[in-house]
Amino acid sequence: MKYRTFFIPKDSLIHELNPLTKLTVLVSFIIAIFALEWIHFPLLLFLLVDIPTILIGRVFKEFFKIILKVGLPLILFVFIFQVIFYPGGEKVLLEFSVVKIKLEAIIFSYLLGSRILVIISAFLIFLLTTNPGYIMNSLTSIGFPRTVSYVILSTLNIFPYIQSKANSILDAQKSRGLEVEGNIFIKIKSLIPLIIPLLFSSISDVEQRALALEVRAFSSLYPKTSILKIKDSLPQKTFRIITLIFCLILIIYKFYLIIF
Amino acid sequence: MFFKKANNKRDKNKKDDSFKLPLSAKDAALASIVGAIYVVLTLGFAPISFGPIQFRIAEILTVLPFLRASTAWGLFAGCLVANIIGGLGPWDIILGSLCTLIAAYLTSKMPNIWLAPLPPIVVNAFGVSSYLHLIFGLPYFLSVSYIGISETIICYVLGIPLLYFLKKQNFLEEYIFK
Repeated sequence: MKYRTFFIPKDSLIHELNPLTKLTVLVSFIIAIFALEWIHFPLLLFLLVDIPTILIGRVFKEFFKIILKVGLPLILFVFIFQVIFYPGGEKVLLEFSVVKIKLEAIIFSYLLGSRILVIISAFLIFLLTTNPGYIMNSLTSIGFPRTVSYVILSTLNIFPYIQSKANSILDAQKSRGLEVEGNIFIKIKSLIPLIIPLLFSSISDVEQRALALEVRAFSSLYPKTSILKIKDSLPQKTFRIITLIFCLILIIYKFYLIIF
Repeated sequence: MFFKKANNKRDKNKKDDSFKLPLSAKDAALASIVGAIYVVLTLGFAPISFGPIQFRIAEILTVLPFLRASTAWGLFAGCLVANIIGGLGPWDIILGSLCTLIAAYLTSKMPNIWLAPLPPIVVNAFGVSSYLHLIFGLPYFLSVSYIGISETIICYVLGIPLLYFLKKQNFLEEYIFK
């Protein structure tokens, strides 16, 4: 097990920012990527904004480790899958017996691939530079239900742990002769021998986790106070409001274009 | 224990209102673990889990709210996180996970095992295709049938045996919610 959470504590400008500011920027990125139709926009955003942010945040090494391991295979697979199975499209570029590669499919896959790259990297920067406890605190401070924000953040934090558990279960099943590697059908067949031990062994963790939560008065109904004081400043507040207004304008503009 | 016959129907005496917020500590821990398993399964089968044409194996877990309603929040969280990483955009992140939440809530209200996988199929087929249609311009009924067929295969062919097994084992009641 390499990491339990994504967060890397370091001393940088990006780490200092309020989680809500980073979250606002993330949301505005996602909205901008989908609202603006220019197909090179996501890649440009990646090169001009994401890369400098990684350098300022000093998480270059960790970022590229995760992107190469998780992001790139995902993008490549999605790209190839969509190129082959994209429904519709007319301009056929290449033709192998059944598979026809169409121009529209390639453009769509390029757009999809670069969007995935930008969103994954923006999100990864957010996770790498923000303490999960701070995210939860700031979300509850703007009125998000406390238990739901706990569930979401804890899902984010424990999935690397569950992943390593799944791998060890797969190793165990392999050692008794179960076929788990190969094409997608073999993988699907190995699903039930994976999922049942995974569910049972993870469920046995519930007791401990619940106990740990209860020790910190999780189910108490009184208003919570926090010892953590999250830094916030007037420039950041105004920045957030202005960004959200811009996002709103973009969304309205986009719907205006769709409807008329 | 393995030979105990499963009861297909829901117990009418036991009322499962664990969906209500705020969740208890056990429910929250259970939900987050279910969410994490959802994310792991989605990312493990990454190439076919995302995109307009998808076959998301993790949807097998949508049968779980039948056993305990609080897992609906876990599925919501898992779907949210997986869709953020999958990156089809804010629609997929917000609307897709809301679809999952609604479907999971309906599953928790279903009267017997055979109806339990129905809400995820119906809600995802019609809900998800409508925003895929609006955003990517994919033909509506084509994507309804794609998603409907893939969800039916996952939920009925894989989900029913899983649910049947878990119900027979009675593991949630026996080990956690005594």
